[in-house]
Amino acid sequence: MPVLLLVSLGAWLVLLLTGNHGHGGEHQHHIGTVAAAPLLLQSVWPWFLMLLAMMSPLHAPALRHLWARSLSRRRLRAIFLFAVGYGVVWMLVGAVLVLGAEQLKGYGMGGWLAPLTGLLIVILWQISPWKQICLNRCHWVARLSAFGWVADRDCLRFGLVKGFWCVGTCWALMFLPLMFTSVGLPLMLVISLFLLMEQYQPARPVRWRMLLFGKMLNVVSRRISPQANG
Amino acid sequence: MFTRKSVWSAGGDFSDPTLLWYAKGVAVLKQRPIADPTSWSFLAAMHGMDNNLWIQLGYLNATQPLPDPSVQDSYWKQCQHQSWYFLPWHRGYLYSLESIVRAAVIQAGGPADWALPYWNYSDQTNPNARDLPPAFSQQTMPDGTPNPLYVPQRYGQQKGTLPLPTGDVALTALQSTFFTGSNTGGDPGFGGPATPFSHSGNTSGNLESLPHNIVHVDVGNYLRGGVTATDLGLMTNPDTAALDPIFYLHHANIDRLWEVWLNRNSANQNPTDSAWLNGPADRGFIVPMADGQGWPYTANDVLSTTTLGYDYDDIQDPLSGATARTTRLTQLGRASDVSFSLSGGDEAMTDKQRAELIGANSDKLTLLGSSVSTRVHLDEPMMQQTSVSFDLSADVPEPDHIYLNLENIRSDVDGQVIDVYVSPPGADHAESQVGSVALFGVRKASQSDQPHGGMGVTQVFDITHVVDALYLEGGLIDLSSLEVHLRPRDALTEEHNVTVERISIYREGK
Repeated sequence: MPVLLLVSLGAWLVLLLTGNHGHGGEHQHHIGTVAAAPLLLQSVWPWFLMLLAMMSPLHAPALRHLWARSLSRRRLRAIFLFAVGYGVVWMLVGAVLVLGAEQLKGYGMGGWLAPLTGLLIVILWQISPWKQICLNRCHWVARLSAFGWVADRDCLRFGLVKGFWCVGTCWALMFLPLMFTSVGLPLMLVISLFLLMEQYQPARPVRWRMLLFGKMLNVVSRRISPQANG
Repeated sequence: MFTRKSVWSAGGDFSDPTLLWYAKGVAVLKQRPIADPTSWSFLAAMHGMDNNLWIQLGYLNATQPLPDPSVQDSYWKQCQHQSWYFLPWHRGYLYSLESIVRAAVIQAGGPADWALPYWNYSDQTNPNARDLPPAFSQQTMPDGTPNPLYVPQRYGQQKGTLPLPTGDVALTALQSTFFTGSNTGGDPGFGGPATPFSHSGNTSGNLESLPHNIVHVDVGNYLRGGVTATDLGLMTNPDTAALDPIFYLHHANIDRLWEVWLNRNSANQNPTDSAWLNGPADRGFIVPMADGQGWPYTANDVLSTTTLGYDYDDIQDPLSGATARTTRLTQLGRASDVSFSLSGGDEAMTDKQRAELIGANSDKLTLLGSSVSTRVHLDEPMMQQTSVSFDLSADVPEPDHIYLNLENIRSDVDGQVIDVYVSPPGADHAESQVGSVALFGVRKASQSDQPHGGMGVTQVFDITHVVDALYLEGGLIDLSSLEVHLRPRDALTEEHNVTVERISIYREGK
């Protein structure tokens, strides 16, 4: 976990210092008129930084699994392969989200309609049973073969599958900073904390449910004053 | 000071006033509605709850008012398993039940010093110890009224399999050398691994595995024929276990064994971690007392039985001081190392990752029938390191311990006991039984919408003695694999859907 926090902090620092938040937010362009390819190229590095900053702390359980269930000499390799598999999924999805955000903003022509629509999509997904299915799957860990190329395959596959469920869980929240680039960095920070708290919730029965604020507030208040909360 | 006595101290039947009054107290609690925190049902739901199953078994009426949802959230489905909180939580739980029953006993004219008896099934001086005490099996009280300690659903659809098998009540857990164990392959410890709030978890501590889990399933019974939850006896399913009055005597014995462990060796200590003493941080423990008021507690509040006002009539060491280490070193011909001082006190192992993988099998296993075998391939470089630790000149307190892990055991049903054997490759080698795993709570642990997201349970066995024997036979350098044999006591079918994700072997230095 400390290593993950360092990676995350490092990414936050770079984001802060280079002024990159959202997708190449510095660049002026007419909304909705930017061609896809240049936009995506501009977005690769900022998106990668966003992933590192926001997603790293979420992977402590997966990394513990890779560490504990691999031969000692393979541990770093296992983690690397997992990261590759996971990263590939998110980079591909990132492309879709970046283009999607741009498209949505184009429809709204710079007004409030686009951000509001984006927000509604996010809220609907967050309270949906499908989101809960994905969140439950965050607890999943892969079978890891111990030897040979199949061990590499299993670590890579772990990353890919984990990435898939993670996308299901987090895509909507990762979409938000792309819509609200003017408050990108602070919004990302709030979302990161939310993701972290969400991740450590136990798996739950799948149904439509309101945002997790109530339960999370309870957890936070217990940590602050355990006695008072008996 | 209330003294908890053995259920067998006066015959185990209703000539013992303790049992007579337990029955009367239980009857009173059973009369109370489930919304009453001092009712039998409310207390049982604190351990585990399944509304539909309770309705099917007749323990809940769909029209009965339930407690307020916020009360259910605080009190119900609270039992701690596969966790270092297992022992302290159950101590508080028993304390609550005992106080409430005692109050009912006093109100009914019984003795003010009534205390919960314990079922010491491991007592080798008592030939009846492993039987169910008669007070629980007879259907009527001495006055002819129905016996509240008898439950028709005790054995589910099956006949009883008691007396408990001798191996299922072995006390090897008492030889654990530390409380907080690991859930990353090595020794799970006497009390279990460090976890947050753990209504169900991954790896059971040594005492929780044996005799706790196995006795649950032995009493509640296995599945023969039927595969639905209603075919099981109450004790086999954590969601119904506390409905059976024998539950509390079983757990009183487990609680007593905690005292026995602390008492038998001054090096045996409770954890000093703040997270254990004051936790869990994510949801607190709370139980009702006789007046219906909640008592929030932590492990720090239940460190000793005497602070809670009770003790046991016998916490003598049944193993007479025997330690696994001394026996082992003597057998390995390293008696002179016995005096090598061990670092005393508890060491929280979980995050130190001391255990290292040395081998695993190649495929997920599906358990069908009565016997399934798999080969665990051992890594050559790691086996060399293990061999070195066995070298007489090595400067270590003792050679590596070796652990077999059955990782992520999943099942659609509870109620099986699987005996596990290990043998070196080759038909002419004898198998050694290394232990048994009881599927208690595994069904729920296998469901993706339950707290652990369907990861099942991981069972850890100490197979050091097997490796020691191989070392003595001819060394470990050439040992390239071990065969593992899983033998369910009742043949498994596809409906049971019992799988083991991976079988692996770990080394852990001491």
